[in-house]
Amino acid sequence: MAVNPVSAVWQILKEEKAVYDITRQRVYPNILPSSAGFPSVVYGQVSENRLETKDASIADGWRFQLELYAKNYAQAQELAQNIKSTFEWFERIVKNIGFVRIRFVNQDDAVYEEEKEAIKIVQDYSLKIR
Amino acid sequence: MAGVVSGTDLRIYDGGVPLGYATNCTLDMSGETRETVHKDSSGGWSESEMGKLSGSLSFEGFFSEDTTINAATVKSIEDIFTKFSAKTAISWTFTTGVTGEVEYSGSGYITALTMGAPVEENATYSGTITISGAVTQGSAA
Repeated sequence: MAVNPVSAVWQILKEEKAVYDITRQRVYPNILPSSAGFPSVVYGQVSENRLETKDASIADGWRFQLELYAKNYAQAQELAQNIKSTFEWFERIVKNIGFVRIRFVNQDDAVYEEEKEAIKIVQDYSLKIR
Repeated sequence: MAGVVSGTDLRIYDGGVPLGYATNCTLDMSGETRETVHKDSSGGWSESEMGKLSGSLSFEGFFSEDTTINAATVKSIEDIFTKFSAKTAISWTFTTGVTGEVEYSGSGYITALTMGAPVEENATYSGTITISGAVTQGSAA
């Protein structure tokens, strides 16, 4: 059965209370809708790693990125901290996915989004499924 | 098979079953020599006769308890350890497994087994099979 690791990200973001309390499920794949309120989270896969063995090519993890949007810097930082606390060293069985292991990689303050009039923070994570 | 063989295709088999999640394997053979330099030998050069031949195989792979991969049976780390600790002889072959292609075979014992577990990387295993007796060249069945 093919595994979609990014769906694990969506599931966790929707179900973790600390994140939900701030975003109220404003969690979107790939693009922030023009009608989206704030704060919001956009998630997307950045890369997939594979390992070659003599038996098969095996999945060796994915990189995904979160774009966090908020109306002010304090709110953006609070959201970033809550998400980082959720994902950093995350090791749990996620329903319909398997045992998911997530590691924090990086966080950057992005350039102010003029069109959306929003603060943006970008976070990078690595994810493995066993 | 014509052309250069891909390393991916050459494997170590134990009793016809490949070692699972293998990433590398080698067959290393050497021969002892006994020097036969004598007073009539050409100046400055040694002369030898061949003595005993010996060999070993080394293997590396990712640590896994799986005994099947994509419906194919493989040796797991538990199978390998069991052979090592029980000092059980390995009936090994070094081959692509493709019928008619060259196959090297013999008997041996696992004389070294290492398991590695670096932080945030895949766990691995590696080891050595010391060959006992002759290495035979033939064709895969």
